[in-house]
Amino acid sequence: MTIEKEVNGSCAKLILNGWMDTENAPQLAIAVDALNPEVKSLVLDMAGLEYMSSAGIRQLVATHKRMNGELTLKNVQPVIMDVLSTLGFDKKLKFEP
Amino acid sequence: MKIKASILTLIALLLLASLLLSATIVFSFSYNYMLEDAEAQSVRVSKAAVTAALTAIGSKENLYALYEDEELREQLHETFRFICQQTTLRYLYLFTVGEDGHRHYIVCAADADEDDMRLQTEFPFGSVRTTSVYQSDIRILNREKDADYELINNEYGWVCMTIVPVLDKENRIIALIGADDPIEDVRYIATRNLITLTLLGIIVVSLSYAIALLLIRKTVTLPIIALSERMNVFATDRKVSIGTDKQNTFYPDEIAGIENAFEKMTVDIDLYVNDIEALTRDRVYTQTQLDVARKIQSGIVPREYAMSEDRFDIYGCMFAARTVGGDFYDVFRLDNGQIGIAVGDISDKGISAALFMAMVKTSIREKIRAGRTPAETLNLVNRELCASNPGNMFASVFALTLDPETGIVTFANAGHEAPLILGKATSYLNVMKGIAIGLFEDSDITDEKLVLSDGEGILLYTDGITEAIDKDKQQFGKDRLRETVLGKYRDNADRYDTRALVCDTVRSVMAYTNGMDQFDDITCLAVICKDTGNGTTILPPDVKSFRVIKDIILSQLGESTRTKNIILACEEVFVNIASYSGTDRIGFSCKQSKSTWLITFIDNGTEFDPVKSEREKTEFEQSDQGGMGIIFARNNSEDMIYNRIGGSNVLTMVFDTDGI
Repeated sequence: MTIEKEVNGSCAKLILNGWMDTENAPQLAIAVDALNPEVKSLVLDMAGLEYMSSAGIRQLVATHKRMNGELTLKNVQPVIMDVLSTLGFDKKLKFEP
Repeated sequence: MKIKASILTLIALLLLASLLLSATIVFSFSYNYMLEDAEAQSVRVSKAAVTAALTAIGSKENLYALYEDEELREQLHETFRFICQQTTLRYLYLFTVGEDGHRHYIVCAADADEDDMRLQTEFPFGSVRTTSVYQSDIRILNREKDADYELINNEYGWVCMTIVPVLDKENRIIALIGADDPIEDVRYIATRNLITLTLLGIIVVSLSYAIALLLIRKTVTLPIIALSERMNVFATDRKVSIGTDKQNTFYPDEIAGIENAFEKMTVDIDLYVNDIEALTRDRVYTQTQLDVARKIQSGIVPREYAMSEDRFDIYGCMFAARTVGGDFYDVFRLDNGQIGIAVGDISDKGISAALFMAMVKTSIREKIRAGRTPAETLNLVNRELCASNPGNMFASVFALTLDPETGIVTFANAGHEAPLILGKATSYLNVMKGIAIGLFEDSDITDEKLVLSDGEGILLYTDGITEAIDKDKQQFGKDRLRETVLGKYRDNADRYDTRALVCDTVRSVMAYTNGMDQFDDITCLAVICKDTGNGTTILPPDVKSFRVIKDIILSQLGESTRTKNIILACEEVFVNIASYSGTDRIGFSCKQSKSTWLITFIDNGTEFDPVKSEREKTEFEQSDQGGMGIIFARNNSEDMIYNRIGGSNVLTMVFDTDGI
């Protein structure tokens, strides 16, 4: 998995590519930790994310808590949407097409 | 030697022998006695004759006168002859013993005329007998005895010769007188007398013996013969004939005692024989039942049965005990390509058990073939049996269906022995006990699953194996069975040969019971998945190891949404094992069949059944703590089959690969 970072004032965007599994999911936490504390809202562009396991979901939830709910998931692929909806998390998270 | 004769004959022979013996003894003793008596008689006669002769001679002077006067000698001769004729004497003679030591005869007389004539010629007055004198003569002359006699055998035969001295007034010996009594006569008389006496004795004794024998015959022999005839009649016809009148005067107590004992015995024997006949009837009936049962059993359950699939070998066999127990096993194909297998044991023995077995076996096959799962089948059969089971019989059954493509075994247990899982870690399968079918309607048996991987198998058996006892009444037992099976595995280069395994196991049990009557039917059946060399990958319990699994799955299935689902399920399971089980390694294997993928994880960590684990409601707020993985595993797999086998968690996930 690769993570690209785009920061625009208090808004930040992380572009996730590849597979997010148990082994590399903690990279997301590291990337979020590395963000400027002024960043108040975060967008995760998941157009290039092909795979996510429960470890990834844990990171999403942790990030959601850390950003105080100001987390938006963008371009979520159906395979990952399925994973999220399985747990009913599609209702808790904000999405953008 | 065995003498065959009647009591009477034996007694008679005995009496005769004793009679002859006593007669002989009496005869020989009496003979000697009588002989001596006869000799003494002869001496007495001789003495009397001699006294007469002495009287005739008168005095010494007369003796000398005899020398001169022939007339006197003739008178004495006549007197001597008269004495001979009046007695048994043969010869009577007067003589002196001269200086020359010879007898000098004065007068000789004989009994018979002819003899006398001869004597007058051969021994006239003054004739000398030139042979030496007799010992008796010398003893008399030496005055050792007053009279003496001896038995001599001269030309006239055996005689008893008596010698008596002729004394003068001064008591000097002036001559000797000899008297010959023929000893033959003495003996003849003695013998004749004795024989007469003995014969008389024999007749008297014989008569008394005869009377005694008659009495014995009447009081002993005849009653015994009668009794023996009664016994014969009883022995042949088992009927007691009418006995002899025991009030009879001549009926001894002993015989009456035997009669009474015999009559009591006949009653007892009658009772015993009746009992034995009843027992024999029962036994014949039971034996017939068992024979019929055995025929039913052998007709319905073959002694051995083998089935071979591409990936599976199945072999079953049953050895019926002498008393048929009602074991059965069944192997059959289903229309959908699966294989149905059932092994069971009926509680009872005999024809009823055999019929019950036939019913159970047929019902199970029919229902499984109709598409029911093993548990549904057992529950249904149970209900049918409960509806009508007057004998209150029940059956323990282990039923399963095997998908030969995937190795997935769906099984259900109705109170039967837990099967043995064959593999590297051969051990008993942890199965639900269930309940034997036939008695309680709410059997509530449930299906369980198991996956047989390459080289693995399952061994089904009945208690005829585990409860076989040796001469010390020790059971073969489950541990010994496991060791035996494991031994065969190691002996066969860590592989199982289905037929050899089953046969060797049964043989081991037979050898164990060596000499004991086979107590119960012995049934054994093995299903073994052929080893195709599709091995297991062993990985360290580290999340990084999952890359290997991911690559294997991707390389085999290609990248697709479905593949990602499969990888997701596997990752969740793998991470769960690596993080929480405490195992030191994780085994991974995957197997492809027509439309399914089977992925199996094996670990030796803490027992954990992800299939049964509580499906917790996952709250969004807590979900960063984990606990969601199993949901993905479940949702993305068609089936998850968990078993705890020999200290290992074995989890197989079944994936439908149709969408790829």
